[in-house]
Amino acid sequence: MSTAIQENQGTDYDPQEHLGCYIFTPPNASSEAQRPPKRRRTSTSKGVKQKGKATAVTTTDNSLYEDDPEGELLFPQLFGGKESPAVAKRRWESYNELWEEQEKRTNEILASMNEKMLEEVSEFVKKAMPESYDGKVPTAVILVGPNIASHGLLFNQLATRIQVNERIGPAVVLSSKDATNLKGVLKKLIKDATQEDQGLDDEEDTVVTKKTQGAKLLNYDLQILQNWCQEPAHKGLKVTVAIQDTEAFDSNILSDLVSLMSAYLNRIPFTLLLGVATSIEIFHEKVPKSIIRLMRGEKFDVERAEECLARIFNDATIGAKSVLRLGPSLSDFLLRRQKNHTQSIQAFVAALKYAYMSHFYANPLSIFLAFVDDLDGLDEALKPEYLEAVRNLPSFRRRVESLLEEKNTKPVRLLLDDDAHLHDVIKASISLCRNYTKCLAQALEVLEIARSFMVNQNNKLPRHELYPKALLGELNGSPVIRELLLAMKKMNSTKLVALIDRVIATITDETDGSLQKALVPLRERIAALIKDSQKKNLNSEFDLSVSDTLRATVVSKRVQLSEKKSALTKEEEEYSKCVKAVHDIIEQYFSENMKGLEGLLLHEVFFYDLLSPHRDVFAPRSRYAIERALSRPQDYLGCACCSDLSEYGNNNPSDNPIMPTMPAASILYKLYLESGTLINTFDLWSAFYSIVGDGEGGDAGEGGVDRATGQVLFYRGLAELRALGFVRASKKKTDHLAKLAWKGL
Amino acid sequence: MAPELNITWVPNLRPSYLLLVLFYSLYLIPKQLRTCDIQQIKEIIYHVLVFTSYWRTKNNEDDGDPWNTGVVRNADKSARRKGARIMLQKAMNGDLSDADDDEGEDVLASKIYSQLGLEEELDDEEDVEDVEDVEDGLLDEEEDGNSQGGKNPRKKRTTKKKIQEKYEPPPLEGFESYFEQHRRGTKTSNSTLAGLPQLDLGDYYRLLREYPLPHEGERAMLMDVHRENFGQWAFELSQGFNVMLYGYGSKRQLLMGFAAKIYTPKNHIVVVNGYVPAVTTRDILNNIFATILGVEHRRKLGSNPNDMLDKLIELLDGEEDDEDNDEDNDEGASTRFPSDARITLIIHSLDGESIRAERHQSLLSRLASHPRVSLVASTDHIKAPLLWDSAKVSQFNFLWHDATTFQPYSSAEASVEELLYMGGSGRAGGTKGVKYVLASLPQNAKELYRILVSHQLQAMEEDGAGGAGEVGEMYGVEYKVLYQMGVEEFICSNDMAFRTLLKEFQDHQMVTSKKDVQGTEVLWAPFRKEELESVLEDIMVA
Repeated sequence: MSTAIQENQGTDYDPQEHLGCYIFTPPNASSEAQRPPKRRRTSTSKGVKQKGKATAVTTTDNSLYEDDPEGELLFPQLFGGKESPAVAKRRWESYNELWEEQEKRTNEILASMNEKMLEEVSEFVKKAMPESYDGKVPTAVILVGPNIASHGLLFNQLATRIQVNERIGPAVVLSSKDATNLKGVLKKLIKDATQEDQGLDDEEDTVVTKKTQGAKLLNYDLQILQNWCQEPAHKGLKVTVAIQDTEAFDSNILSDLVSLMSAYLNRIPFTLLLGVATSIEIFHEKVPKSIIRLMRGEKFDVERAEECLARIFNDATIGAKSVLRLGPSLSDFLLRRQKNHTQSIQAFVAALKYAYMSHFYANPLSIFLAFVDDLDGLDEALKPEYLEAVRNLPSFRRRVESLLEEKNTKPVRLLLDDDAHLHDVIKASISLCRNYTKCLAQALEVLEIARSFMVNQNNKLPRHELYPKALLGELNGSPVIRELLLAMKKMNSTKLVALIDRVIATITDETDGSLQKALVPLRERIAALIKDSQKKNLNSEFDLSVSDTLRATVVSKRVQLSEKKSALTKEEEEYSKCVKAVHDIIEQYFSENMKGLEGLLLHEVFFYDLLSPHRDVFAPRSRYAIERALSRPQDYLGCACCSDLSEYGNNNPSDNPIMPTMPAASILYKLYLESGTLINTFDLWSAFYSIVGDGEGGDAGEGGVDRATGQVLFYRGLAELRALGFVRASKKKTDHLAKLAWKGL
Repeated sequence: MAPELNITWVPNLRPSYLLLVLFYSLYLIPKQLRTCDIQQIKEIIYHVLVFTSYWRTKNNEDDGDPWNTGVVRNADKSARRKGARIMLQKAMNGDLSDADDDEGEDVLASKIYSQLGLEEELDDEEDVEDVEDVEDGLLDEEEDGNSQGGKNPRKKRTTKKKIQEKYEPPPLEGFESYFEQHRRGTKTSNSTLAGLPQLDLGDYYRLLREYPLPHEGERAMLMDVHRENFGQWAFELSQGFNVMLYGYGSKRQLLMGFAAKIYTPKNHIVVVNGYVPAVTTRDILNNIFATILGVEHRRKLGSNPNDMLDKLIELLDGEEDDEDNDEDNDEGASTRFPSDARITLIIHSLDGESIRAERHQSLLSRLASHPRVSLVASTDHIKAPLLWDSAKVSQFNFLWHDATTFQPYSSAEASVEELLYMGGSGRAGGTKGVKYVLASLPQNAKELYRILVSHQLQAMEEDGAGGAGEVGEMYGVEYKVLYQMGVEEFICSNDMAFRTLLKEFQDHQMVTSKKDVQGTEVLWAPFRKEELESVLEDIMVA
């Protein structure tokens, strides 16, 4: 090794490379700071950071931005640097503003989702007395579900609730990571339980903690906690011990802990909370029966993660307050990922955040979002390059093309040439976009309500899964709606009135009064009909079920039908007309409001729908990337020498051949692909050298390397393959390598 | 007897085989399972089903002959067994008719049987079949073609041929290649690296420096492309995400460039080289403390990394007790970590072997999840994403970026040393190390080793097969014999001294010992003949 280092003290030796860990000091800090920021040519996705200090910004604490208006701007100036710094800053501000709002709402939902469970558990803790549980340790088993990523948050909420809000006493959250041994667990338990007090009441606590009782106690002696509990300031407080991941907890330590708690129960009022991710049965198997006998308590179920996701998703996409929304393909992608890979809610929130980030970072038109409530302010921001960018939008092109199809050339000309006209169009479409989402959200809600009245409740897609379809315009005329409308026709009067009432109640918004206007008189008419009729329920003529007979022939059915029809009362005939009217109104409403966003100008600004950044960043295919780099280096290097344009290429079109110019690891990898499960190193070398060698033996061309250099390249390539995890030395045979990975799996 | 046996276990084989295939394909793609969607999984399962049904139909073609179903499957790869089957069939049927034909087949069968008698795995299936074909052709010409014994195997062969044609050329990608390569069995030559001259580490580095790597410009271009993303990464870091780079090529240089870019006095950067074998989480935490508190801080940190991390997080949260600072009141203000400062951790090879263990990763993930700590890391291993469970993934909160640089890995990142000595039976150190160890030992020890090696060489010479063959105890020296020889040469006078000398060799894995069947201890040097010769030469020269 020492020789190696000496050998290496040439040009490229970096001593820091061999250090395990060190503090970074910039090589030439002064010159670096003075370098002007680079300018960028392309307007998408790549930006240069404004030079200067990095920010002290955290996700949770966005307020720093407002405190420090001169602070950091991490957004690049887009349009190849033509964007003015002020606009870039505005973009940055609106990003922070909008995301902050969104995050706040999301966190509120998250907090409220656990509210019920928190309420119940803290109530349990409040009431729990060992006496009421036969002198056993009062225990709450909380079934938290398999999504372990959210457990931490949940238990922290629980702890804060118990000790700060309800003031029941100190709450200690233990996780399996703390539980390397019993001593450590007790230490943490005692430390956390007794320290907590200092935050609560501030006057006495210095005295309290300093007061010692003569005998020196080891810091894991529960006596400390007992003393603490017996102090007058802490009378009546309960000590809550929450175990976050019971399954991962060492079962011996857990049993010891429980038996200790049980032993001290008459002196320290313990309450135990167990977070169980699987099921109680599994927990039972983990802990000895004698220990389970020491506990007594209740079980609590945490609300379903799916419901939580639905609420957050609905809020972020169809919620009235959100400005930037997710587009159809992205939301579909995210929902699918969530469903199929049991991602945590946090993962979804991160993806949502990334959508905001990516939109504002790279899309110059995102500045429009800053002016949604102030359309006049937009005029200043609309520089020629923005108009140009708008004209390049796919939605703009679609608009123009559809106009051209109608042979309507005049507006097209105006759109393309007249900047002032485009200004107006942009403004109009901004409010159109805003309105569209509102209408769509409402239509989805109406749909949801109407569907809840349907008899057949199964195979119901939840609202958030309908959303991507609605955006694509697939919902209009889809079976979902057709079925619903059919079912509506068959409704009896009580149900229909209830339905109308619910629908009217939801559309109190200013958005669209037409539905309300149309429905209210109909409702009154039906109500009047019910009054007039002696029957409790009015049936419409559409609901003439023939199911009650055994007659099978078509004729007999028809006969029966006409009988039924004639049996309808006058009110019912009238009612049928009303039903028809309601049906038509609702149908009309859906077809008006469930249009896809395709036809909407500027929808790119309001609906973030770029799939590839999310896919690359959250669902990377790292192995594929490495395999591709090795098997097709020209894809990355873009060089002519490694492509198969040469004479080899024609013979073997399926795969590119091995070229001597490829990197050594690449050549080896390609040979590796061809070989079996065991690889003879010497044979691999021979094959390798026949490709890169200078051809002492014959055919290989000029430009090859001599044997020693070939060997060097071979060793390094092999070492790289091994470091990447493709091969390892095999013990089966001398000088053999075992193949560990198959391409494309 | 034989037929019953086969019939009973064949049906059992099918479901279990299906399960096995499913298991393999699912086991092999756990990484993909994280990223691929349900559609892809369905597709994989579909392929597996198609694959197994192919096996089934293939086997069902022989249904006329019930006991063949079992044999064919097994015999596919083994002509030896095929030969055996033909012979057995003949014996079973007591086939008296068509003596000519049977003779033909019989000759062939026994020929194959004897040819490959000892080889369990058939070396070249195709060749044998060609032989069979030729033989068949000859037979066809000779006889009228009404023989029954000959027809059956021939029919089978043609169907098999057809399927094989469909499967050619062997696939190089996907699960097909996996099955293909496992089905084919491995046949490798017996040549070893001994034929290749050993390369000195010094020479290695010298040659490496002298060799101009191709694609200089292209690599620089790739680096530039990645450098353009620095701004984006910095933004992502500022938003509480952590950045993870993957792709082929050393990402060290790129990351250091990024570090230089984001460095400010308020942004403390700690660099970790995860590939360095000696790095520990304690080092990392110590360095972070040093960057917060200054190198000269006198705070007690504790020795358990978890405790240290708790302290660190406390420090970062700014919740530390004032009491702690009372003692060094004057410095207290300066040692406090300014509230707007943050720490950026740069970890090269987060999947490095030294920090790969679960406890390190969970510690790092806890650290990385702190809002004031950013993490920029790189991974190289193709299975790196398997390191983390969902809790860690959500704590790390990584944004992944493809940073394929094609920069050669430094020798530290992808260690070559071991490979350079692969001549030494795949053992680190090889005979090279032996030389160094011997040089540092007293003359007596050298002498003893010389005796052992020369004795072993002599045994190899006498055997005649030594050299390329396996190293083993068959050429070793008995403990007592070696001791006796040592005493005779005045190397040692008692057993204790002899033991001490041997211990030294055993510690350096220069001598291996084993008790044989009779309980006598045998000692030998675990090297090949050529290596032993060079060792002996070295000793003699010295």
